[in-house]
Amino acid sequence: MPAISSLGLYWLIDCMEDFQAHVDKKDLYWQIVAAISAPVTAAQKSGKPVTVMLDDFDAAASLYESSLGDAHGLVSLFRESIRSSLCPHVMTGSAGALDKIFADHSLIGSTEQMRLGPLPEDVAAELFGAHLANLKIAPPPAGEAKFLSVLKGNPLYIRNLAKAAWKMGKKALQEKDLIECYSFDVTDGETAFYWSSVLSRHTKTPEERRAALKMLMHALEKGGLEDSGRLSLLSGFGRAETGVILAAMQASGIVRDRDEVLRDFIRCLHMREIEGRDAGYARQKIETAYLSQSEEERFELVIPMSSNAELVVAKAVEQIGKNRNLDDEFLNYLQLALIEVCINAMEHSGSYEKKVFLTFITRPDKLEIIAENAGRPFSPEGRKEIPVEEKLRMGMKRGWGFKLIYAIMDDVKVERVNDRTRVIMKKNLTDKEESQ
Amino acid sequence: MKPAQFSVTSKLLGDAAVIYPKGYLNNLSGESLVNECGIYIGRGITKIVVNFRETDLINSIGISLLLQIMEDLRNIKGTICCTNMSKFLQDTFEMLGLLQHMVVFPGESDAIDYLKARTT
Repeated sequence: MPAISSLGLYWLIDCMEDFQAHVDKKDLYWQIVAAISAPVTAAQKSGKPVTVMLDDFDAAASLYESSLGDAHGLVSLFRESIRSSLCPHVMTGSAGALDKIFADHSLIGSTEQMRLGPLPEDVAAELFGAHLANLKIAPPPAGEAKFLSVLKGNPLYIRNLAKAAWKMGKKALQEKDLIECYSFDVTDGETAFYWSSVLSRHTKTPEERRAALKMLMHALEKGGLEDSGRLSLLSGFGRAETGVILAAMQASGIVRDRDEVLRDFIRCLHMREIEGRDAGYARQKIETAYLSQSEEERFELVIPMSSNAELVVAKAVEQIGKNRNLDDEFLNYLQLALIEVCINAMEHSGSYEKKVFLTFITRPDKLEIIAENAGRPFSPEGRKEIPVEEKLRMGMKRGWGFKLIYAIMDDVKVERVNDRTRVIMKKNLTDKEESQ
Repeated sequence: MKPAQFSVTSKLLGDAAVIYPKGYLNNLSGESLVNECGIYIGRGITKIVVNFRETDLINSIGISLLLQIMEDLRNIKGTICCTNMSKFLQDTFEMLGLLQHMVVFPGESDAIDYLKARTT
């Protein structure tokens, strides 16, 4: 108090006494009002602007007095303070959920939305370095921080990873340590806590939480949440209830396509809460996946759906194989499988885009090739295999493509992702190197 | 693999036609192969040797057109022999169950000898 009076901040004492009076009367409503208006009072009395930062503002939709759901529309209490020109408010939260809140009549016209993009790579690395410096941890040397790209420049994840390193007692970091800290963060760290809270906030019962988790895992594996019948089976709830859970998840912002950190969190949580695994198991799975990825190379190629374009792909896989010193004959088979997958896309998709997107991922023990194209759905499962003898008698002699692909590759998966057909082919590379 | 521009050449050796497909055997080149064989079949030739020594790569459409030639020959009780096939090509035909429907020889002369012996 002496410091406050010496600075002439008597209004602050009034503020605190005012708040205390509401506490003494156990008047929760006016406590909230006093807390929300305190920054505006500070700005008005001091004549200096006060910026208010409200993180996860979507949670304001479920503000309550003494128990959840006992008061509605408390978000409108922010109306006056938001409108104060001396007191700009910066509110953050998931876009879907904020849309709903900002549609509240009390806030309409008082807010402006900005979508935050990821931090550029160099800024993200600087921010991570600054967090580490505060925690007295030596940053990873140049070339050992490639893993940070998984965080896609998200400041929350960057801060949480630094905190995970601190919690794990790290004094210095190499690439391997980063992966170890990351696996901790998405399993038991602050990122796990954050997303787990979001999930809890948007599901009312443990059963709903499990259902939501199963659906999230399904979305992650299948690339979407379109099939309501299948989702209902998966969730164990009726279609209508499943729809409500799904809508809540979508509003919460937990359904995202390109957030690898969130995907890893979902994988870990699924392992623990649905499969009954322990945290150590989940962490090890995540670490193993990233350690093997750190040794991978990725090539991307887009070809037009035109005559002989598949030969460009064949040439590309030949060079990729040569870089890995793979046997020539083995490469011939890979080329054939790739040619077939391209021809299939060109002939069956009817795509207006007329492009095939290919990704080659090489790991020490495996080659993964992903071919993707827009257009008509394709599934090799429904195709009947016709014996050669019969083909010799019939006019139609085609239909060998996927037979060859299945025979050549070790693992083939065909899936539909939105309007695209994706073929994922894997081939083990052990013992396929050319003998010197 | 260095896929050359596809071409088909051929020659007549006695009563057998020897066909040389060169390059990448796909839909367009497969059609030329079918046409080339068709010319000989039209002239009453029932013995055809396909020498694959210069065939770099084949796709499933090329294979289906080869099946067309096999059917055309079967209809006239003819014979098709395949020679100079790389291990890759032979294995590919094997995967599809085609090998039991053709006669395969390591070299062209082996095929010609076989066909001559069938005449006598």
